[in-house]
Amino acid sequence: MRTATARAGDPGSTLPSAPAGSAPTADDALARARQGDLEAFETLVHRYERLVFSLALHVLHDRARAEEVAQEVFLQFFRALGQIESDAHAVFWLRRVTGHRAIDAARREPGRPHLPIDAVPSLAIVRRDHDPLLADALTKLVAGLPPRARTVVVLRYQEDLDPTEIAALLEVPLNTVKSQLKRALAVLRGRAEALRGSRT
Amino acid sequence: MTVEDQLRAALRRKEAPAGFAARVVSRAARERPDAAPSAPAARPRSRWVALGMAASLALATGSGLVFLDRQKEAEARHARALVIEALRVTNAELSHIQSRVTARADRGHADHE
Repeated sequence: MRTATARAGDPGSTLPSAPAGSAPTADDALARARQGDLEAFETLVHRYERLVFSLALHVLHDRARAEEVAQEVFLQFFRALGQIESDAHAVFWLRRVTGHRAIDAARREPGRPHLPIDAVPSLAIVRRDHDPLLADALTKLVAGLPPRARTVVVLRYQEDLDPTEIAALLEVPLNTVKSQLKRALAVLRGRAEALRGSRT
Repeated sequence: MTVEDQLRAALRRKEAPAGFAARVVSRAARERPDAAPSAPAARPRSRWVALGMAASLALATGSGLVFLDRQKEAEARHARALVIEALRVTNAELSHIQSRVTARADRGHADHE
């Protein structure tokens, strides 16, 4: 499923990268960007923008705020280019920084209460005439989770990371990640079944 | 389709807004102008112009001061020459007067004897 929606050459995806020699590699672009080459830096931004923007968007559920966070992440990346060793390192670094920044931004959300994970609003209250797709409903449900649990779910299902990788990225204990995923899935499964029941 | 599959579909990566990369690069260029390949070299050029103007001003001021200095020196030399000439004339006059007084005194002694 993940691979079906990923773009060829997407960093961190399971699809193969572009054929060697057809374009400068990410590592080449990194090397040139470290020397102050802004065109190379733009190549890197294009390469990673879907990863960073989508992660921020799925956590914040607000395109303007997601772009704001994503821009800040890339500026921080620009300042840290000297420490980035490879494409894989860049992907790890961007996921970690975006995850932390998105959590911070979500905690500052104006007017949105941070509900305990069991108090996520039911799919039954989603206005299906305006938002009939289950995917949209699930996105809204995820956006209602507490910021850290939200980020854990997005890293798990957008980036296809396993709990160990998520724990390393967010610098939290593995058991915390596992329990947050388990509880979030249970809640979402219950809401999804409720939605199916209400449709039949 | 499981809930996990549905989550993967719902949370798939989305396209960034149009022009996103250009906006990021523009901010990065403002942050580090030396890294921008198209950054104008206005600052170094204006620095050289400022240095040139300062040097010209210093040269003009220095030349003026030297000119004034030399003019004052010439005037001083002229004044000194006038004073020396005046002293020389005065000295000559005094010598003449002294010789006349001496001559008269000598004549008076002779008449008395």
